[in-house]
Amino acid sequence: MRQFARVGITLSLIAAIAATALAMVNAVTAPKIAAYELQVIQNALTEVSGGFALGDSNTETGDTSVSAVHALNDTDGSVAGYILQLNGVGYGGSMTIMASYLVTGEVIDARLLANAETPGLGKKAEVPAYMEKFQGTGGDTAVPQKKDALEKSDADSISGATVTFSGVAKSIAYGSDFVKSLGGK
Amino acid sequence: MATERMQVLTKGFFKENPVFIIMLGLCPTLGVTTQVINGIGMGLSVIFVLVFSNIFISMLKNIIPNSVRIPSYIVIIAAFVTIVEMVMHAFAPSIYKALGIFLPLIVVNCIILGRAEAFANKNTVLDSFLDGVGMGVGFTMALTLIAFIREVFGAGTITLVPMGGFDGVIEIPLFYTYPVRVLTLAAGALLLMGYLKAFFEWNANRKRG
Amino acid sequence: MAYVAIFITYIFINNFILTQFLGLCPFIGVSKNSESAIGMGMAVTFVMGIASIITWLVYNLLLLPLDLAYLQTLSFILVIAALVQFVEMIIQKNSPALYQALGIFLPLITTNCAVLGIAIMNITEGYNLMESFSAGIAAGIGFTLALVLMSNIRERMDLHPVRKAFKGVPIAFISGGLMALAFMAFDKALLTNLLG
Repeated sequence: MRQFARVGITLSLIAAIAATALAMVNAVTAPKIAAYELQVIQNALTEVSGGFALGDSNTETGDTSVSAVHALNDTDGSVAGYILQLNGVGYGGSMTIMASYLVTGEVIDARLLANAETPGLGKKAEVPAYMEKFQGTGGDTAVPQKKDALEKSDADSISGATVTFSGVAKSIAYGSDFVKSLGGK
Repeated sequence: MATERMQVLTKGFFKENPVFIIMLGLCPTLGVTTQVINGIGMGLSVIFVLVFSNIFISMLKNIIPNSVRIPSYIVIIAAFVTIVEMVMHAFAPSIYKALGIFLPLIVVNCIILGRAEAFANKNTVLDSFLDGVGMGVGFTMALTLIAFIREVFGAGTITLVPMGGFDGVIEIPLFYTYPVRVLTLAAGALLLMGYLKAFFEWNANRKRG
Repeated sequence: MAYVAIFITYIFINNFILTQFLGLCPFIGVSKNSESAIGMGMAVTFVMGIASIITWLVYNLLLLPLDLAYLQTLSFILVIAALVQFVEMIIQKNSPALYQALGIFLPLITTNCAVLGIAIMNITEGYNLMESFSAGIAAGIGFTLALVLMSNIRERMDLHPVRKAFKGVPIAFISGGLMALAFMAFDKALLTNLLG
């Protein structure tokens, strides 16, 4: 019994010390991590804002594919469009896409944020220029979701990463419909 | 005495290289070596965890009862791995994200538990420290080699740390335009590992004469 | 439908050994005996399934509510170590023959990257309890599949001459690489086209 107690106490003590050390390191690093994550979102919002000012934000969207809606305000204060934080699925798993739209559903710009795509292939979607193929679509013209809806040079550039492309395109198209459903409120 | 100490330190580099000779810690070796900086980042993390866990386990070797030594080692190793995770997430987030699941998997990296069991619980703190450094450096060298080959031939780049105006990616002229893509994928990594291991075997056989 | 996707993903598309590199040590070190490969694979599958359940519960019912997410690695590995110990005791009591056959590989399941790997993946992918259990079983089946294939190949290779430098581990890696090449046929695009 005494042996068992000694063993149990030693192990618990080691575990307790380990947990305490971790709690201390966590206290130092957690705020920094939170600040960094916030910065990433902020940067993305600014990049896709298309020159508009950021208005009200809403994280209670009632839609699992849209985690946040930010209004874009024109110089006269009226709502000119929206930025949506979209949850998509790519080749390597879930992806976060920040996409901005005019109230008509037309795509202003987009950025691929957190993702698990293949370096050298799907990861190329992180480059801002990748999103040029979506800019201007979604309003009168449909968002391209299949490889054959693209220009030849664009279609070639996504070769080997079509699943990433479909994932991104699907999310952006979804966002366009979502914005249209908001009815320019 | 001094040469014995040096031996403890340097055996991990080549003679008992953890990856190529003892064949431990294979999972992260192939998983993170798609880019040079990831290989280096993983190597440095393992050095940190290996050194500190070796030190602590050696310090506590007479206090930890034999029956719970494996769970105790695991707790100590897991604690240091979590510290590396948190610090890396806060101060080097891009490498943290690139290493992905392999960072917490350092806990089950056979090298660390293996050295704890085979060395640290039988030797002095200083020797355990040296062993940890030696094995860790050997591991890092192996990872960097594999990552270098995989990235240069597989993607035509060498990815390092972005500094100032340098975006961190060096492009190799010929390979950038005609890369051997399979090397960046799982199949290529396994094949490369087979050929590298065969090379080291051939080298060892040659030495034996 | 999601469960079909999970099974196809973890057995073929993201096969733990041939695509994700998790569980390599037993894969390379596996004996040329196909029976013990199956036994090992089933033991690992069992542990992965139960571990997925327990770690999911620990994370969602204990760590998250108490804001202790950073204790994930520590608690998960302890759960796995305890589980393997428990499984060891059960096998020893109920099937001493199997216990003998598995030998040292049984406690080594604790350090198998695949077990901790699937536990962490379940959390990252945000699966619910049932999905986590399915993923655990599926990943285990994928692991077993690769292991059995490898043991069969090694059995056959014993009958053929291999250059000295390649004998043993190197040729095992190369075989694994060729298997991985073959498994690339199971691409995500295939799944997308199959299930829409």
